[in-house]
Amino acid sequence: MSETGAAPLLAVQHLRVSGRHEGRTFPIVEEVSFEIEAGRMLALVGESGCGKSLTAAALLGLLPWGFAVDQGRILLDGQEVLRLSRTDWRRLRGRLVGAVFQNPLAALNPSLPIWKQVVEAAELSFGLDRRAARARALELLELVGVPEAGSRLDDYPHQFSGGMRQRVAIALALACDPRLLVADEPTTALDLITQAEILKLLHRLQRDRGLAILFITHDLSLVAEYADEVLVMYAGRLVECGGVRAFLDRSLHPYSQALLGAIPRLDAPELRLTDIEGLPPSPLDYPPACRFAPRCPRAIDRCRSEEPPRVGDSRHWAYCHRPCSLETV
Amino acid sequence: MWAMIVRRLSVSVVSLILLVTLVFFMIHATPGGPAYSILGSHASPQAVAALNRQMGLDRPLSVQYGIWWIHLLEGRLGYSYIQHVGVSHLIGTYLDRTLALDLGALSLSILISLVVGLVQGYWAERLGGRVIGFLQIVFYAMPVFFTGILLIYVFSIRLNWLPPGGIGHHGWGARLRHLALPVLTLALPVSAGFSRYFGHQAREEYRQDYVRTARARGLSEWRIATRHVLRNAVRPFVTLVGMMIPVLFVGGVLTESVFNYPGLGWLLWRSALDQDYPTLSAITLLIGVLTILGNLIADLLNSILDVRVRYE
Repeated sequence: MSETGAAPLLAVQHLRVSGRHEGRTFPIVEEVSFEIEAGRMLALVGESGCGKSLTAAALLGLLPWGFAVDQGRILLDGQEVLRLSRTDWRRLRGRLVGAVFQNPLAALNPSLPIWKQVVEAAELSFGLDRRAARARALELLELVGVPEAGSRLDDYPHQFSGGMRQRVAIALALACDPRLLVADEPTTALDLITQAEILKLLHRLQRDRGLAILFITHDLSLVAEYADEVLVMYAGRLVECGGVRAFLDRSLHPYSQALLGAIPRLDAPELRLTDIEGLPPSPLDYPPACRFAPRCPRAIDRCRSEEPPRVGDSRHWAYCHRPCSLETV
Repeated sequence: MWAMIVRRLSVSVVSLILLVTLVFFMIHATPGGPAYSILGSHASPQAVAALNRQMGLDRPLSVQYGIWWIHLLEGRLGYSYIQHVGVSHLIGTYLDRTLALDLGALSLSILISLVVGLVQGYWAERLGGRVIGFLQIVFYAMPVFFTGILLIYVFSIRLNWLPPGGIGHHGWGARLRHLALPVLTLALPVSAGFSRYFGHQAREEYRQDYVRTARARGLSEWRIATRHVLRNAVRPFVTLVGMMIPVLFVGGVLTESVFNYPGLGWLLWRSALDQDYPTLSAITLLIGVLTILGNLIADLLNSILDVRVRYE
């Protein structure tokens, strides 16, 4: 994927995350490989439960109890984080990679004024005194566009609106100037207008500060405007990857097509929204061969018996026996 | 916030008035009476009547109730006709011993439960958390007289490290040595209960997203526990501690009797057996006042800790 030849900021190779259930270990996310370069936004898209949040947690070293990475490599700025000690990895969090999550109210401690939370990590990392810490907090809150930030330093999270809380949460993540931001459904809990504002903010940070962003969402319509590349995940595996334009114009995988078909379009209102039959499979019971086959309208017998091959080229590929628009690639 | 304090204080005052009234009528409702306990159960009705007149017990209940209030407001708690000494003096002698025991056990319990609860919350899904949960039930269920005797057996008889009972009269060292086992005995079941409750709160807090956010920022587990989880988990715990103060005192009564430790609990027990009404009512009142105070302090502390209450 690397176009410049420079080492990517984040490289994930053959990642497998497993969880334990009733004494047995099940792979939940498998064979996930991707790269992000500085200043790029990569969107990881999939339905709820497909493993995208677990992938994010693995990148951050924050897998819940009972889950573990048991295969693959994660290279953050060239360092293999899975080999680091817990403390060394902890020190990378915040400084090299920051994170924003879905629910911005729950993400903030209700009983600490926001300025303390915003600069807490920076205070500990850089040993700021109180005055410097408040100045840094103000700077960060202004950076993320909290209006009248100076008078809001001592406010508590419940005194902010949902969108403002998410801005504050982004400020928290940026406190130590990380170079990669993992944003796990950061706009899902927000209304449409606020969603757009948060996306604009992320885009501005990406453009102005060279921040790399891994944007995780179930909503393809958010991706179109700002993402550089799109990764589609289904049932714990990547099914398609491509530059955003190529992906939107000629998606290869029937699952991607189905996701795109579920977005209302203003330019073609006569098109009916389509939905995907059935439910995504449970990790305890993944189908053999192509995991999407049981729900796929294009599935043939081979899809259920043979692992799908990789089709397309190095910049836009999918795993599918019967890709949709390969002939035009 | 000031409105809240005023409201809370008035609740305490009303509780106090109810308490004083209740104690008065409860004492009067008990069978027998002071005259019988002084003169013995075989006293002649004439002698009883004479003594009742002398003590003012023949006057209408409403008048006695008024006098009871006046005396209380003047700080006069009466005279113990069994021990032949003023009740205030009696309580003054025993109170500090009980305060030393109960406050010692309370502080130790709070300390233990904060540490154990945080560890338990952090280990919620692991074996360690379940082991702690099991130990909590064991210690919670163990009666004070059983743990007390067990501790005496181990630390006094076997190891000969600590005195098995009584109070030290000479110097702070001796006093503390005599306090060690009773404090531990009382603190064990109390910490088991406290830490189970606080551990549950801590577990709930550890599940909150802000803990994940804190981890994502690279904060250490120590800092997350002390600065984030503790701060949020401690509020309901403060309320619980306030509510448990009378329970602690009742546990103290048993502990004092196991260790032959002459404190207020021991005095309460004696005066109940001896039908020493003035002492009995004074101690009952005192426990009630401490309970009301404990709850008041807990609520005020809570309002300081909870920024949302403070701002409304």
